[in-house]
Amino acid sequence: MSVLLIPEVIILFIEDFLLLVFNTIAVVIAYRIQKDFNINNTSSKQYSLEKQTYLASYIIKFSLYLKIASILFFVFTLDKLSTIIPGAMCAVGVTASSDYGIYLLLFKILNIYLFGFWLLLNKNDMNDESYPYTIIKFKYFLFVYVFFLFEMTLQYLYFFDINPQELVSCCGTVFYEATTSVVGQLTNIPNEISLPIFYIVFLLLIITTIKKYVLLNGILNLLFLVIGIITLISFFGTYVYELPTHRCPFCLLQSDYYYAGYAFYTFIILGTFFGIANAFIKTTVGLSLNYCKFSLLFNSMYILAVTIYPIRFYIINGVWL
Amino acid sequence: MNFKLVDFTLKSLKRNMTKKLSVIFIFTVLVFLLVSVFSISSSIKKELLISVDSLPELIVQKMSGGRQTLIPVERAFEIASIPGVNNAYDRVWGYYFFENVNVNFTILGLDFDLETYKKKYDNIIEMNSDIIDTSNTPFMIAGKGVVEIFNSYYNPNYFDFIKGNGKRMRTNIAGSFSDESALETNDVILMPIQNVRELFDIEEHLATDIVVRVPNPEEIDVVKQKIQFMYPDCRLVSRQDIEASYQNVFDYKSGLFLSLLIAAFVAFFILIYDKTSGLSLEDKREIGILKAVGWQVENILQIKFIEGAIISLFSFSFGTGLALFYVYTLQAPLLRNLFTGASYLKPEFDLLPIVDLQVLSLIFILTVPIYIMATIIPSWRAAIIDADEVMH
Amino acid sequence: MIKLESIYKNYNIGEHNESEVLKNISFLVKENDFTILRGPSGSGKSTILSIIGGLIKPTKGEVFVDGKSIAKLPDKFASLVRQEKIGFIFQKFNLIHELNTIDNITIPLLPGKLSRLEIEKRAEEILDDLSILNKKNVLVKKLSGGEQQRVAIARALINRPKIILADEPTANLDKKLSLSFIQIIKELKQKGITILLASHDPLFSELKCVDNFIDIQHGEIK
Repeated sequence: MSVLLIPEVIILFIEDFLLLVFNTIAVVIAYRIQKDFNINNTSSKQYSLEKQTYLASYIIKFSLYLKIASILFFVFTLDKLSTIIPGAMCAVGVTASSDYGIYLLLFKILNIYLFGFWLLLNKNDMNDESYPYTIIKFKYFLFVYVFFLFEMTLQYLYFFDINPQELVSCCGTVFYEATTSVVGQLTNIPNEISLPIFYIVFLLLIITTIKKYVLLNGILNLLFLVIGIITLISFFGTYVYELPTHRCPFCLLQSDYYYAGYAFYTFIILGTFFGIANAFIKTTVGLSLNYCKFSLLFNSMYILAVTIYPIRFYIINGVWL
Repeated sequence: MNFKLVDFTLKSLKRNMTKKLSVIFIFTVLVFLLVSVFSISSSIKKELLISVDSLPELIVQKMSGGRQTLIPVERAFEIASIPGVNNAYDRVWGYYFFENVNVNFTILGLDFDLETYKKKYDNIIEMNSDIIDTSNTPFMIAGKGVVEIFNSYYNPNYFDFIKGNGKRMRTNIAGSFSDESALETNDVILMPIQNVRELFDIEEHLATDIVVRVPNPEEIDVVKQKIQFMYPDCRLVSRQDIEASYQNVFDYKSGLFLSLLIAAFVAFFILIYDKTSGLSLEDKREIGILKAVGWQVENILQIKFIEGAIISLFSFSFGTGLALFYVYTLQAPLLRNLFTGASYLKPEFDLLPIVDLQVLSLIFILTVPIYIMATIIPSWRAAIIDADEVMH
Repeated sequence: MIKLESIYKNYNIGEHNESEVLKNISFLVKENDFTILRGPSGSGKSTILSIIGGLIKPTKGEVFVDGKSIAKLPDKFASLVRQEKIGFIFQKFNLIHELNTIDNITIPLLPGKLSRLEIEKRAEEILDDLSILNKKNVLVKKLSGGEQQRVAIARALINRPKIILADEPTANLDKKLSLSFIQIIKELKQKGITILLASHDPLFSELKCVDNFIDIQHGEIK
């Protein structure tokens, strides 16, 4: 029996199909606008284009919010599938049950960032009377749409590829043993190396924020995201579970651990989003915004939240794991 | 979120209630259907899972030629000695087909003196201990549903089983039991093991299957492997497997239902789009006025969105309320037949009331965003109305 | 305060029924001036007001409102100017009949940042000034013609505009109400508001407090 008849999966497909339809409308509008839009033009065509920008913005804004809700829903669906797919103990196993799994997840997260950047560009564009970034933001959306198509295709491939008869590995093997997968290799970087990098990157973030090195800050934020998740899986998470062999990014979201995962992911995603967005907007349209502060705030909250666990453990138990 | 705009939208809705009624109706009906079906499904699933819950962790069946055959009783002792195994019992049971009512009874053999594998049967034995006599005549303690069937179709005091060799086996109805799960009581008959052996012609050294208790869930797989190694001709069914398969069946049925509903969703979408598209002259004039006094296109989009949110939330709540009432108070006449197939007995069972938040959030995630999406383009069309045109 | 430079407005450009509604309109309205746009119906007065109010974009030319060029502003910003600086009084009042008085007049301020309390306070002040505070909660459709007119004026004043644009405000009123309207306008002028009024009512031609008359005929200034 295929996974496709699970209600959650059907719902995902229905909604993503609708999103696809609407974003296609948006991309058609985007194409027209980046071709012909001219704020100084007083023709009726220009006014029609102006009106269409509202529709495109509405669609893209709505898409972002739906995508955020949808990715949570996606993770829950994966978790539910873990009861059906043999060997999978949580969403990690389900993701690993198909080669497309991890890429799908990465694209979903990436697209949330990309859509988010568009919305920030849009906000700044609409606050200026001359609509200075309209053309470039819609050119950018053409590019985002391609990534969105990738995501939809991957999703389709992924769910059709899952075979509930096949045994899969769980976080135990995905993250722990020496595997050939990129993910496995990344999380197998010894903590002695990854932890210092993690904290050093954060310090650099502080410095670049104070000194307003926007581009560097953006790149560091990207790095922070990667190293933050790696250390979460291979180090901090184990202190949440209080089990050195339990390396799992999903179990953190469950009630057993007081849903700590939500806080972690929210902080790090918001933090890195603002940092990267800041650099992105500076490089694409040359606008200097002050998002670095938000970025630093959320990243600090992230680092605080994750560092508490090992420290607390040490204080209570007197040893490290 | 500008609360003044929310306020304005509410007032506006109150004024235009009659126009919005058709939209509210459509949405409510859709939610009603979905919640009803999923609630019935959840309810039945819960009942099944309750019954599964008291199942032993492992069941060992002997297979021959791909079919289940009787298993030697001595294997139970060997299995019981595996570390991790708390206990292993042999079970003697089978199905008996009662033609008149077209139902299969499950006949369970119990040793009324020894500890049995299911706690609840211990309770039943205790409850009926005064009735249980140690005479040699066969007797049974039947589920309430079964007793009702016998009352209606046979005899309130005894039942004549027909054995494999054609001879009758008169069995007294010594007592009855009822259970949290109606599905259990409706087809289960408890009888002394000897009587069941006689009925199904099962020899002393054989049993239908062996039940294994493994208290530590982490050890189930290991024990399973060991038993498989000891007896390669066996099939092992774990409770987890059963739970997963029930889950599958229900998901499958629900999924099937949803897929069929896709057609309904398409209709839903189109209807909503259509209904919200039609702007009367009065509506257009009003939007023109709003823009003339300084409202921006975005503000109009905002109130349209708020309107959509209010309508969908209200309809969702209303539809859900109606559905829960329909399913649990009225016991879902008509719709329940979707799920109850021929395998269940005639006597109706009650649907256990559970408000499954997961199901509700699922339906919420399904319906509300789709509704809002259906209103995107109509809202936009309203928002770009030329103020000047409608006022002059 | 208001300046128009070579405004042209054409409809259905490029089609067989192309019409030129405004031709080379230029004029200046100084701050606190009370100016009347005179001319027969169809001469383009309403179009001029709509252009100044940012409701219509001119085909050619420049419009300055309080120093700001609005002809090419995107809708969002044009609406902002309208919301902050302009009060519009329409010929047919254009009130929402199913709402009561105070709900009608507070509409312009709803999307803005003022709190509900502040808005209500302002509304009551204005209603009081116009002597219709007692009709605060009455549905507009139940008000008399004169009361509705005051509601329309109140709505135009709630955002404390610098400019009032009035399009044929006395067209549906009898002489008594027209005079009462004129009285209100005089009071507004005394408060420093700039007023531009379009009307072919001869009553205005005789007014002494008018600073300037602009005559429009067939879309051109005479």
